[in-house]
Amino acid sequence: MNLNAFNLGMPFKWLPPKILLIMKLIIVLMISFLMQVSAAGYGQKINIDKNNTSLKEVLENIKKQTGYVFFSKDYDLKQAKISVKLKDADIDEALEACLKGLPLSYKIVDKTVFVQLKEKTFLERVVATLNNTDASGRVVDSENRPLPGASVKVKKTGKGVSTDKDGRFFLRGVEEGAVLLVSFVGYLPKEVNASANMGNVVLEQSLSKLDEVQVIAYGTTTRRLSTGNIGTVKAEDIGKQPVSNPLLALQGRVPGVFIEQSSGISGGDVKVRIQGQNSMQKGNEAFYVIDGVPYQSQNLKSGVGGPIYGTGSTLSFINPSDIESVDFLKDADATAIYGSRAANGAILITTKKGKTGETKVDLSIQNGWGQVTRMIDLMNTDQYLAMRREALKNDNALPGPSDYDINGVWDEHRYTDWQKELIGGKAYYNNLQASISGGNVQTQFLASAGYNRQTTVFPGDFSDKKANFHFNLNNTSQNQKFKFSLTSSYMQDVNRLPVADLTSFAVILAPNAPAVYNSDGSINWAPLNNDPLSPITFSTNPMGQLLRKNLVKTNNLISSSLLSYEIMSGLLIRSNFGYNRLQMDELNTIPNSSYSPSFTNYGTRNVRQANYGARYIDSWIIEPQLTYSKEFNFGHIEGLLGSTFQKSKNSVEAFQGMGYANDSQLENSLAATSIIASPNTMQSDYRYSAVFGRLNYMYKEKYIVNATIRRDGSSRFGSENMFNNFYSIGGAWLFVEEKLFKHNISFINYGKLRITYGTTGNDGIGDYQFLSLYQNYSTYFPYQNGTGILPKGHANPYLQWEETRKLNFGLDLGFLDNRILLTANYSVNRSSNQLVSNPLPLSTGFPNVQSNLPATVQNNSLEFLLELFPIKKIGFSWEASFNITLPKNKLVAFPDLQQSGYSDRTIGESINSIKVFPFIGVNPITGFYQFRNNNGEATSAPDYSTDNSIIINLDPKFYGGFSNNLVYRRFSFGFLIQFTKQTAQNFRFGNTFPGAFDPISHSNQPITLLNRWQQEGDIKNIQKITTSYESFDPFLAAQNSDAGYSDASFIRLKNANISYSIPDKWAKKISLSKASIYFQGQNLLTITKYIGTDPETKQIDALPPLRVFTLGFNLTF
Amino acid sequence: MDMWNYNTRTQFRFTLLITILFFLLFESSCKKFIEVDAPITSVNTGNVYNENSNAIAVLTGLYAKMSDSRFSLNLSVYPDLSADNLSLYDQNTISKLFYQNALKSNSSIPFWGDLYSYVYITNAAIEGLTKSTSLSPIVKQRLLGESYFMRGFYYFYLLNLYGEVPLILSTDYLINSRLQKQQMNIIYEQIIDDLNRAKSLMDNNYVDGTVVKESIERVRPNGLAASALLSRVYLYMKKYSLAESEATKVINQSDLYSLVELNSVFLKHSREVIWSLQPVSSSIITNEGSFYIYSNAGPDGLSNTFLSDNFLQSFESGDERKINWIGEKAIGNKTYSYPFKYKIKSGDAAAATEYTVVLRLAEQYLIRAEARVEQNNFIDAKMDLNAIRRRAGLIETSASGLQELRAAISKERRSELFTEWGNRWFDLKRTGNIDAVMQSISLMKGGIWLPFKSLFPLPLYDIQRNPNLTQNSGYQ
Repeated sequence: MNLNAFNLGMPFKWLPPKILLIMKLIIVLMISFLMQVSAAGYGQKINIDKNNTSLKEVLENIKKQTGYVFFSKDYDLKQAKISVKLKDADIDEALEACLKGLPLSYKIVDKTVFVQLKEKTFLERVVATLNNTDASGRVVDSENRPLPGASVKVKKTGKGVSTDKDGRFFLRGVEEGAVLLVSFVGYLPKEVNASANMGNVVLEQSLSKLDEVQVIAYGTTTRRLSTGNIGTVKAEDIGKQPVSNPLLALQGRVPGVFIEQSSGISGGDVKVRIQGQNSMQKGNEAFYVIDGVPYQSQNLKSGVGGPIYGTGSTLSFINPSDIESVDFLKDADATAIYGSRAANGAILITTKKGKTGETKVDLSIQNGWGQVTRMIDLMNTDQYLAMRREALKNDNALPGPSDYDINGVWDEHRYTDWQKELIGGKAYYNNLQASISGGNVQTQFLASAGYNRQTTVFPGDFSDKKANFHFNLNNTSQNQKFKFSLTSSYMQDVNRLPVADLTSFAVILAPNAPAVYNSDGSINWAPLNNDPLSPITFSTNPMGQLLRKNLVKTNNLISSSLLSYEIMSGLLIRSNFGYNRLQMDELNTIPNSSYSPSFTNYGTRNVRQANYGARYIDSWIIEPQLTYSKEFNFGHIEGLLGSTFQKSKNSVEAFQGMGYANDSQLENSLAATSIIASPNTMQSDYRYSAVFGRLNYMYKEKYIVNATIRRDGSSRFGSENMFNNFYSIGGAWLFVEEKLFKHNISFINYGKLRITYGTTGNDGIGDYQFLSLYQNYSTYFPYQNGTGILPKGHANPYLQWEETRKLNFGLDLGFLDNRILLTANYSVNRSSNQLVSNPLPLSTGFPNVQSNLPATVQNNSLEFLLELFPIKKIGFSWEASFNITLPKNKLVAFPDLQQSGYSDRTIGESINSIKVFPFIGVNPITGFYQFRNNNGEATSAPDYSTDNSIIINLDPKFYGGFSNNLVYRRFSFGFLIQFTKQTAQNFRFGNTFPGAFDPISHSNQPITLLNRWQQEGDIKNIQKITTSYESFDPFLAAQNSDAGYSDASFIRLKNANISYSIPDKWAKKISLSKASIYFQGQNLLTITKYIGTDPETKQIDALPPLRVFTLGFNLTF
Repeated sequence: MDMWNYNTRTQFRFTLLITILFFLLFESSCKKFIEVDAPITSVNTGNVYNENSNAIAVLTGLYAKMSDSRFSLNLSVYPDLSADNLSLYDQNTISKLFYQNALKSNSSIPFWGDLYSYVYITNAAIEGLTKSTSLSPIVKQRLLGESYFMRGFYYFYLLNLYGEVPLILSTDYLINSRLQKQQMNIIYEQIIDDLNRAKSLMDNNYVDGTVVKESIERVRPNGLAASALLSRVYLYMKKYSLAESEATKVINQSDLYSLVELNSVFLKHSREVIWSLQPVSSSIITNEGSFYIYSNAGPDGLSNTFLSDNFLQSFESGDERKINWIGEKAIGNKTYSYPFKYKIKSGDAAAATEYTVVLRLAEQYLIRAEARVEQNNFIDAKMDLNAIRRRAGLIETSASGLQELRAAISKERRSELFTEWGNRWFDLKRTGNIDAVMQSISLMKGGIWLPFKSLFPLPLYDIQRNPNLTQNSGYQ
């Protein structure tokens, strides 16, 4: 047997050598850059051995060794003679040794050392201590705005206070001239000397990545001080990608977050998994929060006709341009405060806010086009017809009356590349966004509006149009005590997509099928005359589908407001209010004309149908909170206490109309003679309530402890288990702040160790699962003109949360003046109490019941994020970022696995693994696929319960991204490469059963089927082509064999962008304050060995993601 | 100076107080907040039996589902294939297992799952209706009657298809998933109890979708349907006098029922019908008509049965049922015969002229004839038998004496009730003739007969999930 027929078990060769080389080169280049930059700053240590030498001479020596420059205006450095012996000392040690015993002190500013007379002698100082003064002042930012809550600490004693609402502080009893450390989140800390009236202390905003604000549950933090595992993507990165669903702009950016697109169709489903799949059956969706308002990411199912994108991602109704930042909360420390909802992580989306400054208008115009990235190689007419004839020959059969492709009815010389014809078009992309913003110290505002239109690659007039509006207003009272903000986003989406993804036709139609249109423009059902006996030979003409109308109108309003009032210094009472309404109206029509004339008996049979649907998600939330923040001499304490009241209502009304008199009446439901309610019709209420608390304690910016607790109640659970508790504890140690490190390892300038542990829950089981529900049983013709209702399933009043325990170890390092930042996380998440459908004997009435089983799923994840900033100059900067995640999913325990509905899983393996047959090629005598069965024998009819001995894991083995951004003067250039290593089902054995011609689905095949068994003795990879069912079972088994799965890894140049901003003086001439032009490309290049269309969608009949190019302008007035 | 000053202390106390208050108030106030009302679009156990229309809809839904499913067809085809009435055209796996009496422990066959899912609905209805206080009494009574009747009906089939089965009378899956098999006589007692309750709760009127108003449609069971089924149950239990008296109750209702001419028996408003199911589909009138009647091309993978030679030869000459209830299709030089009791292959339920008949008067005559024979009342037995023969265009029976009359009635039942609700298979079993008949028949069909095969195997799915459930002996 030819075991290596398909190069199974390919070694680690999936990375093409060229890409490896390029990546290596880039890394070498970057490292050499970093070394150069740092050489000057981190010179050698100081060595001195001088006896009775003048101070000046010693300092000159130090200058030579270190490059430090010395100044002294009121002391003659020559007059002091000192003896000093130093080995490998640092500057502080050296200076202290030199100035020992002299009435001198020193101060280092950058690379300059100021040597001055000590102000007071020791004795004087003792006196001064007795005469402590009260230091006071005001902390402001560079625009003179107060910074309330900033920390002011005496460096030596650690004693400190926080500033009040006006940024003022008052420190009682401080030694005059003592060093005060002033710090505030997002700003560079500053040291100042204490005095009675210090005036304004101005803090500069930090430009370091470490001080960027991260949004967390009910608050903010920075990367420097956070204890949790949080990933952040900012507006700049989102804005560079021409996508209509913001989730697609986040792919490859954050370690531990796997994002996958299910099809290239606008509005399609997007799968997001944070640190793997926790739940076997229910709810693997992350918890989405938009400006504090929980957002349902999974749309309701209406079942109305067409939407070819499944239920669709509701994130498509969020305008990517309105987003300021997206924060991914991954570990328990970051998510436990969301309690039962955030077991799968939380995704916090923060929209843009108004900023202080002159009123400005921004305008962005972007136009482009998209095309399918990859198509599959299919047979041409000759190859196809040869295969078909061979199939009949092998069956000893002659072409039948409906074998139109080879019985002479269809032109055998005709060839159509159906992929080109049906999905080879261009989709146009237009995006227009305008905003106006500005404000003063007290009030800031932002208003923006936009329009986005995307057409499809299918022939015909289909589009997805979005109009959006975003508004933000912030106000602070004069006395700074009262704050108010209001944010609203509204989007209207009009989606007209065809009812079917034509990709499914494109990969299957016979290559010699007739033209889709007649010369007069009508649909070619070939042949069509008025003779009812004449067969319709092209009854599956895909253009018939295009006559069906599919219209989905969506309105999405998200509104939130935050009120806060400072009761007393450090104590705030506040509440956020949120409202979301996502409403969709749908229409789907099936006119008679969309069917072949023979199906409708030349128009006499009425098969007209229309489906109408209306669905909405309506929810509000109120979260009153108390926050307390205070600087004590034993550390900084922040406390939060809050509660949640949330109510959501989901509603689906869907019905189907039939019996319309003509096609033009289909949009009028009143014209139907029969209306049936869809089984998807439903209304459900979801209520949720909780209290929660968080305590954060920080000592000397070195040790941080963060603890959260939440008590949750959810209406999704039965009366027995409505409430539950969740908690987490996290600690961080900024070890580099320890003297040991500071003095010995100077190239590490930031270092933090984190460890967090806690519990979160998953209540994503759907509403009312605990109730014994009855559902409509409707039939075409109602029984006795009445409705029927029947029990839906067993009720389980004991239903409970799935609980996920998360343990996370983190290490954050900054090297060489934070030009290199490395973050590593290792997490172990265990989900137990799995909500699964527990099988029951049929005699109980239903085959299963939803229950919590003591099954456990474990996700380990190793995440790395490496950020490099080789050049950080104004006008010339280079940033690069690389991340990789190595996930591992394991089913740890499952009682009675074999008896359950999950018997195809294996303990110890991923829950996304499957069992397949060992493929051993084609039997050279019979010509059928063969597999090794349980007893080691070759068989063409393997047993599905015993012979599937090979386990294939469909989880990604690793995934990540690599991005670069380069700014040089007016140019900027950036790209993002995304990569995934994975295995997926392939299509090498054929797309559908090969050889057969079905008048409905014609069955063209991939060219891999050219290399097939044809006569006895042939050693081939593809079995004999026949139309008989004797070869069907081996065909199915081959698809379910290890050869039916193969490498689907890919490296994708996800995005590249280049922009140029025109010189300001040119801009001024056309009365603009700024203007830039840019070119962006999405999904530009994919390198993969996948046998199919696209390795991301992993399907053959779904539209692959599109390659999009856009050209745009940004103008600021 | 002391940082822990007065102000800070106050703040701390204040905060602490609020914290405690928060958690204290949460439990009481929030529980109320998060308790949701049941959804209005989907009724639940809590509210379904509070409103007449909802409660009625449960039973209506049950009939609609039975009519919409292949339930009646499965009971028409598979037992007759297992016995000697039907032959198989296409070697379709599941049909072949029945046909060759080759069912195995892991064969996946219908009946069990369907029947128990219906039993669940009746149990839920009985529980809900019994508890309910807000339904109008007349509605409650009728619906309870229907529910008891249906439960008895389903257990009759469970018992006769499988023998001993778990007797499930509640909706609690925790208990029911561990129930063991119950003895047959206890299940029979339960069936009789259910049917007697049904009889006492329902009057003899046929009602419409309001269950209050009378209707000419006989698509919901009435009190006499309970008597009719009860007479069959007593016959199976060999309680002949009781069988006779129940059958008599039905036969005596001449204002409601009479034997009608052969081609009218299965029509919509036939006076022979005691209970039927109303068609609900857009393309199928009755599943029987849709399945048995061949397309122009003759038997195929969908209509894959034909009447066996053995059965065709069992008709007396001149029996009009052979002409009126059997269709023929010549393909090449072979002629295939098929059950033609239902005449319509496909159509729109809204315009249906035929209903699937569940219980009809002819069976009551045959039950009473048999009950009378077994009580040695030969004269009256013959009267009943001849009533059926007369309608079939046959002369009066010449049989006399116990043995002859038994045989005559058995033959008459086969000719009259073929491909209806498993009658032939059950008759062979209850009369003890099954082993004798099936030895040779099974061989002819390519199978081997063993006595344990008169009971179908329990689904492996249930055996694996209910530790107290054992497979019927003989099946491995």
